[in-house]
Amino acid sequence: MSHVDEGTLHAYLDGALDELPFGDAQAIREHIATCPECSARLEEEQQIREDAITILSGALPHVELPPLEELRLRAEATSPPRASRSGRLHRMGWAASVMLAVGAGWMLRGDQVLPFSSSDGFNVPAQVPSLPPAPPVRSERDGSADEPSEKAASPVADRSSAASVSVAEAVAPLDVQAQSRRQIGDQERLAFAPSAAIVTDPARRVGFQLVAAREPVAFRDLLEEKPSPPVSRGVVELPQREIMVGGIEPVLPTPSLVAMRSSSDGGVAPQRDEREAPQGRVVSNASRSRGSASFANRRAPEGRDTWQDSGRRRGGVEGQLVVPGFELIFMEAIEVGSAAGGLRVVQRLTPGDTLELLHLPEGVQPSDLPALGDEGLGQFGMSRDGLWVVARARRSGQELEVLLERLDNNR
Amino acid sequence: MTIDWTEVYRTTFPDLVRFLHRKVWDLERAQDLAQEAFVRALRHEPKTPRAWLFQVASNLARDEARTAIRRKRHLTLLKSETEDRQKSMPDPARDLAERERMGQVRDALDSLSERDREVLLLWDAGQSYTEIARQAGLAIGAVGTTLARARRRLADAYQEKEQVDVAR
Repeated sequence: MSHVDEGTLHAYLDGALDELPFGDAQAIREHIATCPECSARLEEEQQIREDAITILSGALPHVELPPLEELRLRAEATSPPRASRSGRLHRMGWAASVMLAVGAGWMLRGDQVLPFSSSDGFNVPAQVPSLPPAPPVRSERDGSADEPSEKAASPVADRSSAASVSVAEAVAPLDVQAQSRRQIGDQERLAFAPSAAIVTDPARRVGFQLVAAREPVAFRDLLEEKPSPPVSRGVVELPQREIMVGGIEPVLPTPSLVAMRSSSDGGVAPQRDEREAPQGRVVSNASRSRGSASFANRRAPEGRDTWQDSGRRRGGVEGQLVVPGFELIFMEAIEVGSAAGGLRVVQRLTPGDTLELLHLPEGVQPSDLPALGDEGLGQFGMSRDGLWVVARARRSGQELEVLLERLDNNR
Repeated sequence: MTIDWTEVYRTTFPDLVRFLHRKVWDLERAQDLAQEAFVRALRHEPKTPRAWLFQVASNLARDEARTAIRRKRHLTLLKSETEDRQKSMPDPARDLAERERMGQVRDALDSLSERDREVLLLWDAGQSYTEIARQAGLAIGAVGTTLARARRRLADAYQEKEQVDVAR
């Protein structure tokens, strides 16, 4: 046979002769063994091959193997809806438990489970105890303020009764002022009649607004304000920036709010995108009138932005508010020093372990935060369009980073 | 046939990081991309995970180079006491020597054509000729030839660089 070319010599050295589709591997081996010319060339090529291996091994990284389980969680958290056009159309699972989660959060505050109590260096603006009466529900058609009528409420009340009981149970043991308990009761009634829950403080414009849904519903249906099923939608309004929470992830074992929006100038950035419900209104599609509840104390929309644009816009933030996949215990507005407009979210990682996310007010750096008092805690910060999110939990920095990345996955 | 992901992960992840590291030259980034590749693999459950992973990793590295996204820069590790305690003392001299060597390898690899480099890195990460051929879009018979050329160029470029450094 003719001499062996250098490519085949390398295949021989790499033990890949049998993979080649042509020629007889055995014949090639025999030729190399018996042909002096080819053996000499083989030696030369072998030297080159070894040199290459030596050179490459000079840049060998030390590889750390993160737990596969973390990657599995990430895979689950980000599938199947991707951050695409259709990705926005999250189907929403039973969001009623968001209400329950919020209620339970109040109950759990101060409990040993939480790594922090509210007084840990943060000013927590007055919330529940100083609630104003529930804002009137306004029908869009006639524009008149009106309390939800029994007629409108009745079809939903039946479907929501189980959740109402749960909320009531969660609320009952709360150690809060009698007034706030009554207020929460009012919210509950409001929540499960037109499926809306509103908590606002007109003086400081701090509020949570959650609209509960008990059955899976397409985001699109929500946006088109179809009469049923009940929807889920929430707004957290803060003094200096507005955060919009909408949608519940259905894939996950626990519901989680999936979107956050904020405009740093404090103005309301209304949405023109048809796939999104107009901001500044709460879709209360469970009511017969298909009306919208509106904040009595909201600013008027200034028509200049869309949901999609806001993510790209400087100063606008769009992203997840909570890490998907973990139960939401509670959230509250926080102030750092004199800077208001922050948000603190506490989620349950494991039965005895919580994750705290601090969405810092604009202009506040992680270094401005009070030092960690608890030595077992790790923290990790991420800057998102100039605004900081800090994760704290009894985890390593690397694990916290993974959690923060999950926060960013659906951006 | 179900895939034993634990085994795939154990055997493939280090190779994947090694492969990616020589493309992005940032170990943390390489780790991130390898993890991302695995997250995608876990989602898609490809029939031939290893080949699939390398293909995805290669694409990720290419996208990364193209858009020069450095999301990592937004992620800043805040010092926490726990981690400070755990952190081992750095060795500046060793770090310097290591960086220098990495730089030489990088320069040598950069002197190869893109395809030669890809084939060489895939081989070095433990891919078979068949897998390399598929991923690089080569006939399997051309893999050996490409490797022979890539190895020679790498050795030549590295030696040249060394001689220049010694002469200086």
